[in-house]
Amino acid sequence: MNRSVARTAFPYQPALPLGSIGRRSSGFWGVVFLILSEASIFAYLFFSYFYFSVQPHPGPWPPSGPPDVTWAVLQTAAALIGCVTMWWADRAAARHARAGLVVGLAISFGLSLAFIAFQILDWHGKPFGLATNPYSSLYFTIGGVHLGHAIVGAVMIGAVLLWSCLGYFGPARHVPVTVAAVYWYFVAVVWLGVLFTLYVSPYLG
Amino acid sequence: MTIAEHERVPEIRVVTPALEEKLERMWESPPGLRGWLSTVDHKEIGIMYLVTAFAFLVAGGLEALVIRLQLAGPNQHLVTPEQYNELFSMHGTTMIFWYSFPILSGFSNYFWPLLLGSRDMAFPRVNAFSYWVFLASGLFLYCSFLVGAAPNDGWFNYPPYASREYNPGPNIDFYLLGLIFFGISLTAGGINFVVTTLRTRCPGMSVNRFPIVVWGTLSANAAGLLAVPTVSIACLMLWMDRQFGTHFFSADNGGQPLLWQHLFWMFAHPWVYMIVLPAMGIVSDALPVFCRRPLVGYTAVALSTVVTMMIGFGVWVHHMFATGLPSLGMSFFAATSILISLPSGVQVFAWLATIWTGRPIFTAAFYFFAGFVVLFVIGGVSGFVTGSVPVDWQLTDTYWVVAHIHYVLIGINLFPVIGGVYFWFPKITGRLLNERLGKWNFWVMFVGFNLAFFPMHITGLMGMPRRVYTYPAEMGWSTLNMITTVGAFILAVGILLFFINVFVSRRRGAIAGPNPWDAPSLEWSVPSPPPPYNFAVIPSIASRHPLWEERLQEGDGQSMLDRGMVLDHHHETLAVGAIDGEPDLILKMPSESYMPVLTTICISVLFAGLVAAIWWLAIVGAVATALAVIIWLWPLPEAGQREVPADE
Repeated sequence: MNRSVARTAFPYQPALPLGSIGRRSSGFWGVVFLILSEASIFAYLFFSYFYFSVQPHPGPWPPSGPPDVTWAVLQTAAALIGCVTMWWADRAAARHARAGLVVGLAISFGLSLAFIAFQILDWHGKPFGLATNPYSSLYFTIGGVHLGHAIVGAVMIGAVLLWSCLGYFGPARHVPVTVAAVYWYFVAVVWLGVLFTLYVSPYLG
Repeated sequence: MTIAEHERVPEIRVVTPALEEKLERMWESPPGLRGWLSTVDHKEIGIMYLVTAFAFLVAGGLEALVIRLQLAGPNQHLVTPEQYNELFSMHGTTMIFWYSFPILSGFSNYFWPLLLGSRDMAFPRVNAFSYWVFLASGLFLYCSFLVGAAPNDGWFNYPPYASREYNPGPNIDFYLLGLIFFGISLTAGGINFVVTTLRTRCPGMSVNRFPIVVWGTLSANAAGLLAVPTVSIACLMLWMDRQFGTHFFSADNGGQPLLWQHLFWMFAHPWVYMIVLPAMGIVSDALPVFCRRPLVGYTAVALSTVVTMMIGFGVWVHHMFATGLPSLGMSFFAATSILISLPSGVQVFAWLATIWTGRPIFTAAFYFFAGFVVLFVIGGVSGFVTGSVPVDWQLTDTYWVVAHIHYVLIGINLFPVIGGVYFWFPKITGRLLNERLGKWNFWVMFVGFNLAFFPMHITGLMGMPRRVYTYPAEMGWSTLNMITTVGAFILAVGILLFFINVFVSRRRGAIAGPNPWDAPSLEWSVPSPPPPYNFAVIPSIASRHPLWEERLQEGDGQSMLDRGMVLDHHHETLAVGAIDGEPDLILKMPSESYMPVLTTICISVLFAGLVAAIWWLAIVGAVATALAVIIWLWPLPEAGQREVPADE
């Protein structure tokens, strides 16, 4: 018997974890790569926005002046506080704190719905529509694609909340909570990109 | 033993017939239609991928033959100009999207777990899902023929011709929504391949022992995760232009038609490498078997594969040299385009050195791989030439480019694919393909191919533009076009010989045995065809060529194939550390499921609603898809996804 065979398997003494466990689960890895792919959607959308903004266009960019940031600030707060509550829920699941898990997820779910509502209120007050000009098309498309991801995040948090209420999760088995948390972090980080592109960059000249 | 267990010391045993029988019962798919719709066996899914992709090859090939009949002589009127536009658009779209990548996914699906020493892919149900979406999106695209409105703006679909104003029918909507639909399959498949490589391998399968086809497919799929979103988002934007009057690409009201070209080629140039790198990997793994030696320069070839893919993201503008971009930008992209010939050259010299220093055995598969090297060099050189800006200005949109793309795609994709079938057919079916017919197959294809496409270089240099419906006799292109048409039909006969060989040998071919070529990699250590569980015990490997170890004396130990972890409690396989390949976790794998096919049906309803602009139907499809996904992902105790009270 030689070194490498002895090292890898024969006899294999330590016990191996079994099934879906934390960051070693396939589901976690799958969602990480899903997020990578979805994040690149936004890279290409931002590329399109800045492509338009540097090409010659008649009049100022944005045509209607820099957008109002009131709702965007509230959205930012909802997204970032949601990250904290999701992190807390994930920790609570690992420590087998049922109440913390359910409360953390319930608050996060509320925040994700608030985020969606703020986005719709922001759109509601706009004087322009989707088809007014290239800027308005970009404004609603970038916001809309992000809103779609926020809705997916809210559905994930809602499903995990339901499953937590049913008592599915504990210290060893709570990958769906971790996955929903990671997905919401992604929604929040990409929101910061949207915030910079749509709401901050017009003020930078 | 309860289902609540969180860890276990894996049992190590020698393979016994009783164990094989137990695993067979545990892993086999149900028979018949039920099994076909619910299977999650990567081997069955791999075969489904291969058969479906070859069906798309036949569809695209028949479209090409009609095009060639139309162009055989001057002033022909076999089809109308509109039909001609639809034919070349569908030919390109079918071949580039629905044939050339899925065929490689077919090989990778079938062979990855076998090459990596695992019992399945990381996500078996996602694997089935990516197949069903591939099939459904292809059928969606071909529904456009049924309503008499196939895509008609070529495979890259430039606006403004693709905008509603110039193209009012649903033709372009089928293209745009079809590609978004197909992108779902590519993303799901890409994630599956990447996580499979990182996680589900056997102990000892460290990154420096991957077969090159794993490097190729890994690079291609990782790149796909970053590149496919571009075309999906561009298609969404153009579809919104057409449907809701947005102003992304419409030239009036400040839109930017050129932005489509940027977004499309940011995707499509990496895509071109995605559809050749796994095929080059097939050659890098299979050619050395017929040269009776390991591949020369394994590390250089593996790194070149990855580097080619990375540079592939930085060359897209060379498709746009004629659009009037700033010369600084063009110089940069000309430089990167020429730079990419370096890693390609490394691989060509590695193959040549492998043949030169080996003892070649002239099987049909070897002919296809050697023929591939020749075509790769011709296609590479014609591409290298057009990487130069002034030359490109002269040749853009002529038949030179058509010649180049066919040398690259048929030469680097179809020839290795057919060679790969000759190589792996015995593993898949247990029977060898007929060698004599195989050599006829090769020579007819090789002669037909060169006869069809080499003269296109000259037609291009003479100035014949691509995509013209017909041409007048006095242009002097008639003879060359007739030669091309004759060559295209000879190529088609060659491909027909291949299908005949497969069809006949499937039942009457010589029995192959587990390792007919005396090849070195893990898939040849199991019976042909492999059992549903692949490996009765998880092997552990100690070198890059586990079946050639005694001859090569490489590695620091001995691989162990007949003794290892049993993992026979449920559907189980081993997860390893991503880099070192050391045991990390026992994965519980899913059994057969109808959820992949049901979810695909829900998504199909969504896309049917979108293409017909019946919004309530689209909303029904979207909600049904969301519900299907939630049911699919519902945590199950037997999968180790939820806690079970200790008293259960």
